[in-house]
Amino acid sequence: MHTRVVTANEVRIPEPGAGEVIVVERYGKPYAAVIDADMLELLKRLIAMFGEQPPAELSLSDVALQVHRNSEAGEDVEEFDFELLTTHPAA
Amino acid sequence: MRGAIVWAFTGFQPEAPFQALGRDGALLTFGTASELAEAVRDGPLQAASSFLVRAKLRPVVLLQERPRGVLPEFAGLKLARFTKLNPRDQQRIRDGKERALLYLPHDERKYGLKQENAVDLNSLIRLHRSTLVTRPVGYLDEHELDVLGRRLAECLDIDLTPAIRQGVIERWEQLVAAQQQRRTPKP
Repeated sequence: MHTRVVTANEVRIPEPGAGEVIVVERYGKPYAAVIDADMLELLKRLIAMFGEQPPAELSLSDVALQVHRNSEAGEDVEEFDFELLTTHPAA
Repeated sequence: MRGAIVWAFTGFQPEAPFQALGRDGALLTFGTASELAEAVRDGPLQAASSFLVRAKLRPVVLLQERPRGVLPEFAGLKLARFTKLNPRDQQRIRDGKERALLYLPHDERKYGLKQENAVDLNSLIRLHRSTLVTRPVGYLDEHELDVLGRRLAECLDIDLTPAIRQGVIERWEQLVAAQQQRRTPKP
């Protein structure tokens, strides 16, 4: 999202209350909106979280890949404590 | 069982070269999946054949509740150690800098494990109830499950955007409608 900043001196807008959205209509349809600063932060976070995502494999690190490979090969896995057969038997 | 850590036998993924039991009980080897399919077509193999795969007893975290018990399988993720990494990379996992690995510190009372581990988010498996060797030895807490769910969606390339976008739009429309209702003069 591209953000263009204008100072409050340059424009005249209604004062948005906390959690309030002021929708400016033109020809009976929403044309623009004014939101308060907290909601703008929320909007930015949502865009950051849920914007277009590349395939996760592209961002897989060497560290995660090495742990995954070792684990899938059955290496570097905690050894079973056979006491658990007595203390925590499956139902 | 959601968030429970249990020990279970997990099978390794079948991969080439494949070994499968033929109709006559002999162990047959196939270099590729296509050769397997040809063997099914030509008769040496049944359509549903027994594959020889390794399995290992290991800790896993279960991702689902089964309150009715009608589905015998659970989705789960494998737990892995990371002792073969250099100290700097190990620390990255402990510091939570590896999104594909959820760090579980050594806390035997909470997790029931004797060592530190990490949940490998790229290790999604299905586990039949009968493969579980123990009842839960520990649990992930709600916060860890929340983090796990969000990261798992990323790792599985599940696009949550449409659902979230729809929710935001609906909320937006509710706000606009409520505002318009307040401003509409009553007759």
